[in-house]
Amino acid sequence: MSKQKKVIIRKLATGVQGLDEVCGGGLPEYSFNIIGGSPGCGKTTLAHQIMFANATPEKPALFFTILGEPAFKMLRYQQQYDFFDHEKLKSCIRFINLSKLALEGDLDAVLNEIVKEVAATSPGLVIVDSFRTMNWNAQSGNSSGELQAFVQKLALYLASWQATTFLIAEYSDSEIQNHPIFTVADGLFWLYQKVERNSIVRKMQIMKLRGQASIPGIHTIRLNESGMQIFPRTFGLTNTESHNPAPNRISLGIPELDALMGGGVHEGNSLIVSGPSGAGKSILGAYFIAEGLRVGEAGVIAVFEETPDSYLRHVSQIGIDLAGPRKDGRLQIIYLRPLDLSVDETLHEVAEAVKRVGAKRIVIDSLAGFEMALAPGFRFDFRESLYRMIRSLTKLGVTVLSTVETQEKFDSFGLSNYNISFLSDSIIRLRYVSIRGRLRKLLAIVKMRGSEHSSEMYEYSISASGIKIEKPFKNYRGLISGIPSPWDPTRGPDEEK
Amino acid sequence: MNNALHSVQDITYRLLRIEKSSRADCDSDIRLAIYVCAKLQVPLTRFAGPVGYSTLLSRALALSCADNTRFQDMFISPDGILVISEPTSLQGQPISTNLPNDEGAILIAHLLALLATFVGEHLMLTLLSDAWPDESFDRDAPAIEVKS
Repeated sequence: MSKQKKVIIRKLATGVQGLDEVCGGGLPEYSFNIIGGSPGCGKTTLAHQIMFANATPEKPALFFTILGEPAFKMLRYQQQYDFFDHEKLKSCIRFINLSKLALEGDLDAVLNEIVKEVAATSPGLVIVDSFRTMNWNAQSGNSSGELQAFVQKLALYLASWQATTFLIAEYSDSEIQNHPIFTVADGLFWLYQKVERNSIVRKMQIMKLRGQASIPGIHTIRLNESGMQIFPRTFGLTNTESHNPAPNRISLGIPELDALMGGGVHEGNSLIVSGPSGAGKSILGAYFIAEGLRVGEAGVIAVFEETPDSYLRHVSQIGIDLAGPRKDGRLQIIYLRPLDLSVDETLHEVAEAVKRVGAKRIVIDSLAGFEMALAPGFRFDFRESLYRMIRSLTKLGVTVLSTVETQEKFDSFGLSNYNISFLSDSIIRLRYVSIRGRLRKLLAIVKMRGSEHSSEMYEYSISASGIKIEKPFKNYRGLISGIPSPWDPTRGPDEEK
Repeated sequence: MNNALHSVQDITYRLLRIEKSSRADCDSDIRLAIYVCAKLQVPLTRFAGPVGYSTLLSRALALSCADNTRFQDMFISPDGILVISEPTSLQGQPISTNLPNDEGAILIAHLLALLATFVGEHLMLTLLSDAWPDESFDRDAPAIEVKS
């Protein structure tokens, strides 16, 4: 038997930023989909946005209102969105209200009316808004079996008429898993909305999408004047080619430090610089970016604790000019202090900036500031999302330097207040040590995956001319405690003696 | 017609003229307005359902009552039709040539202004085109100003 050619299912662009990627390339044409969720989570907006993106005079859209919000009110709000194209109302989109039939509980009449309109129009897209099963059954006296039969007939009919269909539905959480209607659907798009402290968290999950490799998991949604935007868990990097790790090492911009790391950091690695306030973490990040720019590698800096102008002034004081590269587009500085953004939205901004400038190096300054900029409800996802983003970026060959503030303790050598070492291939630890009543700066390479590195603890200094790596601290014990004492008391307290 | 709008007024008079042209025997502004409403009922019911249409018309009638107490003699039947409860009081009003300040225009202007408020000018004109398919409603006219 000869091998038959597969039917090619065309994918429709959704018109919703991020959704095509989550769907695995777009919406399957002629599919029968359900958009579900609680009131106010954006179901109708999502359906409208898809409708305005796809309706054409040749393939118009029919929007049936069954038991959804009143058409007058719905359109009053929907036309506030940028995607609402008034011109399409003339020849591409028709709104039809079937609430009277629905309220009478006459499902056959509702179906007949839809069939009649579809036959007359030959639409490319049909939206039925909405089914509230609990209310429906209570109001109409119909059983859920009748409703299921109605949906099945509708699905069958609309697929035959080559219409991509969306039912907008409200279901309780307990119904999500096993409702028989869901077996009919080719696609199940579920929207969630939750108030967490002072912020509203909106998310979406594709629970099912026949014939396509949709991205699993729950994705953050943002509703703004443009409509709905989805932030895929893959940060828009799904279709990008994977970088083959090369043995290349890249310079941090401080030759002495490169030497301590065995010749620099591996390209495409994640490096964490950990230390207390004022230890020079941001400056190390600036060196790293400036060195990249010097050798022709574009960069991105995400700052959370100071404005870009303040950051530029700050680093210019040690002779690093980043204002020029920023002006000519080789460097992008992102300043995000939104306070109610999700991790995925914020990381999406970072990933977009990396793609925009073709960055090879990125600095996140700092992880603590980043976390603080997020709404409290999103902080639970912080480490996991950060891990996904860093892995996505490093997979592309981008080298990521993140700074993290440590609360300095004088009895241990903690790397950070987070358990984040799993994020990093390399860790540079900065800390203060108290010697003879003076705070001196110590630098150590704690970790370098797959490479030898110095195990000594070096003194370093920061001045107007930049960072200078001095000699290793010798003849001290207890350096990592921050309060060292001389190994040999007879030689005096300082190794220079 | 304190809340009525200039360009809504233009469309109002146009709709009344269209209906007048096909009903030479109609001798009342109010009757013409009823005919206009009856024409609008079909696309508006299709768009917003019978309840949606009735509630919009009820609101327009209430606003008209505030402008002119003679509208208190009108009501909306359960099937969404505008009815004159005391026909003698509203019948026989002469139709002026340019329809200044007539009762029929008040009601239609309020109805159109409500439509513009809720669905916007573009969709309102699309719905008017559905009601009067042989007429062309100019979409390039200046935007309708909605005053609260």
